[in-house]
Amino acid sequence: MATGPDVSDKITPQLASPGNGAWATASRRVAMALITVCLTTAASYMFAIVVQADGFDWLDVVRITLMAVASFWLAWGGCIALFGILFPPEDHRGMPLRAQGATAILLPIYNEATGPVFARLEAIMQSVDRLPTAGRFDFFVLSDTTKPDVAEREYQAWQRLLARRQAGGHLFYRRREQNIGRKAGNIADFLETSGGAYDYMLVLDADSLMDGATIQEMVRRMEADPRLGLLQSLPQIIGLNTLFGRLLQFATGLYGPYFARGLAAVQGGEGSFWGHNALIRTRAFAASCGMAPLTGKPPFGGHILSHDTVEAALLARDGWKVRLDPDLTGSFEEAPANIVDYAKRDRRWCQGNLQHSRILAAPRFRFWSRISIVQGIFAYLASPIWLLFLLASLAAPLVAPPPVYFDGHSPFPVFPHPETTTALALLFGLVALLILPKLLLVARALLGGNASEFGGPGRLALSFLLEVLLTSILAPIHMMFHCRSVFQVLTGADSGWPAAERDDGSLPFQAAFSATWWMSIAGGAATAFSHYYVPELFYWLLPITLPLVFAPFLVWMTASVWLGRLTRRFGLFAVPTDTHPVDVACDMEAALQQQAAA
Amino acid sequence: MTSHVSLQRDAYPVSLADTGLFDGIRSEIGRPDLSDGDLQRLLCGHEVAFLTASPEARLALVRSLPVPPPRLGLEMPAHDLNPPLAARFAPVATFWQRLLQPVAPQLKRLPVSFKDH
Repeated sequence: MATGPDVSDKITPQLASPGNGAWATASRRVAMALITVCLTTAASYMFAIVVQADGFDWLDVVRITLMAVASFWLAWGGCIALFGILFPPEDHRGMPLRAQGATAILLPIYNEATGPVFARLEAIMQSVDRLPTAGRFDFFVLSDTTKPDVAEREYQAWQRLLARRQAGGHLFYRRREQNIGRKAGNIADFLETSGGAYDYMLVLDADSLMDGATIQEMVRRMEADPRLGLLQSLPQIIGLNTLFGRLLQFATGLYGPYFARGLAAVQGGEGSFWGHNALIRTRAFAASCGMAPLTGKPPFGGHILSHDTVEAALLARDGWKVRLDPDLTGSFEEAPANIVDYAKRDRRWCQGNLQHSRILAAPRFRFWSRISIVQGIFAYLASPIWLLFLLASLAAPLVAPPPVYFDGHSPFPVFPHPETTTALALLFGLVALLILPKLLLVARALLGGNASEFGGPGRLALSFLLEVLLTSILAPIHMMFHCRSVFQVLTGADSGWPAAERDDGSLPFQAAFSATWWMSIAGGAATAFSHYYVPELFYWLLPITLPLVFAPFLVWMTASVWLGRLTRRFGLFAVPTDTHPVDVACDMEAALQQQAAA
Repeated sequence: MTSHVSLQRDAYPVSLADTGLFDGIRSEIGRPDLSDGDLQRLLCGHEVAFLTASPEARLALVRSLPVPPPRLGLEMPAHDLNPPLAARFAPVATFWQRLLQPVAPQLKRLPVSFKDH
């Protein structure tokens, strides 16, 4: 057991008056809201001009409303990136304090592949062992595994690791036979049995990797601010080799830090918790973050899913600071390597986020915590809103009144006013909202001198163009997966997923087809419908309908490891970890090889 | 149900409690909370090896023991995030009643006094 200093029994933060930081955060929030509202109003006004060109009817009201909501969401995302460029993160480095508190590093697992999980743990342990304060850290494998054979492998792996690392008294394994409350229940069980022995807990995921120096720095920052209840690091995605995976790595590596900075700039002390790679004050968490199950049955009742957002809100409600420090970069995770796995993960998150609609009005939540919950809900509702908008646009010309050339006021025919210019301006405006923040970030990388980390200026520019192209092509597929997830959550249905997981993340064509055949049918039907009934929209809709028609091929192609390696060979979608391998990831690979040799 | 790593063994063929080694083990693994019984159970089956081993081998043995996690739990109250309206508006109702308290006697309907003609 890591023995730390005496910890006060007080579980309330030492409240201080809001300083300049709070006012700065408030003013940024107001500025962001104003910019977003102005952009939304402009987009809605332009769209209203366009749609009333052929007369005005009730469907136009629906379309304008949907456009307003969707463009608000786009503008919000654009503003976050813009604020990430404008406002650098606060500097929390260099405070002359040495990490003293006892910290439990928690690895909750659930029927995971045992080898990689313990290899990651060993790599983190090695990294922590190099610290002068290594004795302050204990490791807990919190298993909720339900399969007996996996549980047996975990137990054996723990014993081997214990002997190899000589970690008796610092490495513990605990298994629950029933995973009541899922991950939140798993952490709660730890707190209720051993949490009192630790000042802080670092919560990981099964695919998390963290550098020891970053962990130590997080503890130091936590100790430097007694009001800080949770400190979230910025995990970087590593270890993906498929085309989709490299695309994801590149996008999160290049844009992610700035989006995180933008979020941190407006969140202030009511920040995000992403469920892992975060350091938490144990007593604050235990006192504030217990959640009673919601009344009723799932999907909207029962245990609260996507608990991380709610836990952040609960800590903030009790006066604790929840902070995202984007400069804490020795923090890594893996991510789904193909679109189907990505959609599976989204399906889980979608259910949790939509369930949060029931706790949006929870007592005493801070204003920004409620905004974060709304953001989480909208991350999934945005797709159905776009789909409804497209369907309404397809239907609008059919129900539009015929043009009136002789209105009785003029002896000459009056032709409808062409609004092509306005329509194009609106289109370019919306595209700009999507692309401009990325373009600014690429320009910053090119001018700021860190383009070499992304393969050099030429390759960075080419990677950016390819990323925008591929993301645009794949966007309708993501939209349809989101729509299906929302539909399934609302109806309580789940049609299942193809079981074709491969270790390298690639997908056989059959699995890609089985997951997306319905998109091909929907895309084909929309193409035919627009061609016969709404020919004026045919070409406008092709960028959406064609990717849907070819969805099985696109999903299969982007899951290709061969294409991923090809991009790597040409220096495309390069990320800093390609050229400067991460020590802790190398240690993990070595541990995996050692396991294989044994 | 939570199952922790079981340390229950039945027999202790050799007692190490009197050897004075337990304090060293506690110090080595940083667990002053472990009792002699806990340590005896941990070393069960390794007593002879432990006593006859060289100091280095003994240290290695101690450092690879499956030590139980510390038992020092925290209370974790479950907060209701979607309380019924009665609970949600209870503070408002209380506030309203408190507000009415000074004027409550005036609001009370008194029986009409008997009029003697």
